[in-house]
Amino acid sequence: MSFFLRRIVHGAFLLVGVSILSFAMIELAPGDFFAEMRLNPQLSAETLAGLRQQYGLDQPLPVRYLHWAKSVARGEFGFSFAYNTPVAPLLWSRARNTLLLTAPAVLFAWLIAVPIGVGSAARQGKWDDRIASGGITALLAIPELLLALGFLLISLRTGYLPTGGMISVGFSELSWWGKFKDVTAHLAIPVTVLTLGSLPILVRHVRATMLEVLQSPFINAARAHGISPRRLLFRHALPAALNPLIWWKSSLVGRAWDRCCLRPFWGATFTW
Amino acid sequence: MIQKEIESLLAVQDLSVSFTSNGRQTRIVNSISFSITPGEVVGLLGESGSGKTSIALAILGLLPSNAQIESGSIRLRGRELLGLGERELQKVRGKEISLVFQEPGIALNPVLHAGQQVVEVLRAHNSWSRKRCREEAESVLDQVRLSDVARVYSAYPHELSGGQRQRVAIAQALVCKPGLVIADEPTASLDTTIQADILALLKDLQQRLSLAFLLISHNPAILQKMAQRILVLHAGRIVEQGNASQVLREPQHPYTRHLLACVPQPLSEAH
Amino acid sequence: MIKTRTISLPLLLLGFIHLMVLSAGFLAPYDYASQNRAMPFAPPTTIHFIDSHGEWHFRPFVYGLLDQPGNFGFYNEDRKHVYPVRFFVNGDEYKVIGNVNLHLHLFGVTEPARIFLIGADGYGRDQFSRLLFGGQISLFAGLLAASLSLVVGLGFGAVAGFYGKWTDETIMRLAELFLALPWLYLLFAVRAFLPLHISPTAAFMLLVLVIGLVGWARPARLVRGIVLSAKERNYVLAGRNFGASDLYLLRCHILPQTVGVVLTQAALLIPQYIMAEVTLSFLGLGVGEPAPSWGNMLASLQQYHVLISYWWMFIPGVALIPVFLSYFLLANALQKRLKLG
Repeated sequence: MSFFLRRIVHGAFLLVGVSILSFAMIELAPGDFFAEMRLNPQLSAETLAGLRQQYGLDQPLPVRYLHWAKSVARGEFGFSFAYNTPVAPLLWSRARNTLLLTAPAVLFAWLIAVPIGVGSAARQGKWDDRIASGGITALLAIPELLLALGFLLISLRTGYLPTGGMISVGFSELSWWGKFKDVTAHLAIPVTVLTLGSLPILVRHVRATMLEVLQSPFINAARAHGISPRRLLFRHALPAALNPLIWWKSSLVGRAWDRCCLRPFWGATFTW
Repeated sequence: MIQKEIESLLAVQDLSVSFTSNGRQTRIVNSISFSITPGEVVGLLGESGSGKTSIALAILGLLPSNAQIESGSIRLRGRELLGLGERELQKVRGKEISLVFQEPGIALNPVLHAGQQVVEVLRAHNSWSRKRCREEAESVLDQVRLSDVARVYSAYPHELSGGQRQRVAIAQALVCKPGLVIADEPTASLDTTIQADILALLKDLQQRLSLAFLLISHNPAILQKMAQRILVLHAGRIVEQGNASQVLREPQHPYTRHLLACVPQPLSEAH
Repeated sequence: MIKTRTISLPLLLLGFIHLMVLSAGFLAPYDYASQNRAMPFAPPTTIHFIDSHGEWHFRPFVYGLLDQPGNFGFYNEDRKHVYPVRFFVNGDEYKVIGNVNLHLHLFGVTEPARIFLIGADGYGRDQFSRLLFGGQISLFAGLLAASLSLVVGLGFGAVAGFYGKWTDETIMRLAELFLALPWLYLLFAVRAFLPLHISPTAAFMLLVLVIGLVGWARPARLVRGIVLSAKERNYVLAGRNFGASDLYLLRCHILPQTVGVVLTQAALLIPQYIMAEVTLSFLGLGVGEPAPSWGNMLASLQQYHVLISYWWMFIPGVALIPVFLSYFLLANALQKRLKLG
């Protein structure tokens, strides 16, 4: 129990550290939200100064950080000058979209990777393992960017799938089934790319872990007790292999999340 | 001769096993022959590297892929085991011949409950209901004198002591009521007091269930307590065999003499 | 015997690719910045041996291009004139090793025709030349950034593992912090606080610095693990008893053990970092025009009409595949060898 407690405290410290560092890094960027308004001839320097003061931008960094931290504690996560509302609601809708994207991608990647990894570990060195491993290495060597561009090209050429945004125009008038289909169609390409992107690493990891477990004495012992190869693989080896894999799963969610950060840029770059 | 073969439970004839590593073939087991009759306890005495474990693995068809059986025959109740398909061998393993491993700590699956692992062996050889398997497993765990069966049943191996783990491993080996149990250094990794307990347990079970045992050890003291007959293995060959007390008291082969001379004193006062 | 082949094959391929890229000036027929405004998105030039009269030419030749009427960016060949491909020709100036100016190119065609082996981009710049010059930036950005990460990681990892206690604690917490930061955004922020138009060299150095410094945490953790176990070994303890200095122990007994891990990490990090440079440049945050990088060359694909019409614009992305493949095969082989000991 104290282990979990320590991890939680540890995690909290990490969160604070990350937020401070991010805050400082963004501070390094020149100018602030009102810098652009300087060019507007209708706004005097005094007005801008007033605005800065109103929003607390004239205060030193630590003060502003504490201010922000307080708003996090209130569940607002800061205040967006651009949207003139607390950040939290803006964040949630975007987090929902990100989750809609990452959750299926992670799920699919695992659903595909585990059977391939387990199978190819069970048949180590045989022709099917070689084919699978070769294919996985090839997939690993294809940059995700290229995959994304390639899928985009296919969808543009065929015209089957939408290529940008989350929903179509007139989404609200669709039935729930229509809505589901619409979102699925919009998610198809990015989810496929994300899945294919995380698949090779996952398969390689499942395979390596399974190989290690399959060589362990307890699997030999189970074999000596006459347990069938299939049951050995799925009932005895897989749970033992999955144990270390759990840790991996969590880190992979983070990676996929990170990838999705590119998504808004895709959106922005492909809308003209 | 034929008469004897039918009598014996396990008959190993002229068995040779060699390993290939780095392109070089090394013979580990060199044309050995022995047999075990039902209910007999045979001790296999030899130092590490003498090929003891390879013999055990060869009998069950579990040799690693870089090992090959060069010649020989292994018969169980007159039926040849060498050359049997994997499926046939599976029916033999754990059901007719079972194995107790050297280190129970690593021979048990770390992520399965101890009881579940006993049930797994049952399920491999029977198509019983879940409930019946569980009852059977619990009764076997009770037979190996685990005091708190309910707790042990649903404990993970790392939650058990070394002695408890070895009892679970023995339960696994006995649960399908095999005719022959091969015990490969069953007590080597245990404390002395627990060693004595486990040996007493094995002896008791052997007598009660009239099991045949192939007891593999490097320690003459252990064999002395249990074995009726002893084979002395040296560099892959059986250099001496015979009645246990006879071999241990009046060793004929110089290697056996040497081996016995190396054993600490208390042994000579026993018996 | 199989082991050496699995290592030397990808190494050979990598060596070949890097050599090509390094001799870009000579291999490329044009300068990376030389534009042909009349030929935007010219397709890969066909190299002919037989002319329109059915006559065989021993020396390969190309035709000039004519605009397809009313179809911007599409061309027909002008069969009237034949422009032979010549080898070892004089052309655009380029620099080798510091400041030696050369004009010699491996091949070229007579003006006003152009030879675009893999087509031209929107400014009519030769993709082949840009690919070679761009490789100098993309491939070496990865290489340098990875070396930086590894040096920093090795240093921090060795110190943390060797001295332990609060040094270890501090460094490892810092490493965790670095692993947890959302790097993409930070790279944006860092890039944002710099003037928009900085020289390609400065942009390159900055990219290398940022990407390299971001990634020290993983190698540091691995190195620390090895050092931690190595320093408890008896021969290290024995060395300490003989009065060996910390530096000596690190240098002679401990760090040599990390070589395998460091090399494997390098083979894994370099492709990642190449990809980082490509991604940043693709998003317009890396090396700026007119200097090419495989990332900013791909950036034109953000326009749908380019994406659909001109397949040769994908080539810089495809060029990454053999590079990545070689590095992964190398990493695999190194890992296997490491495991065997």
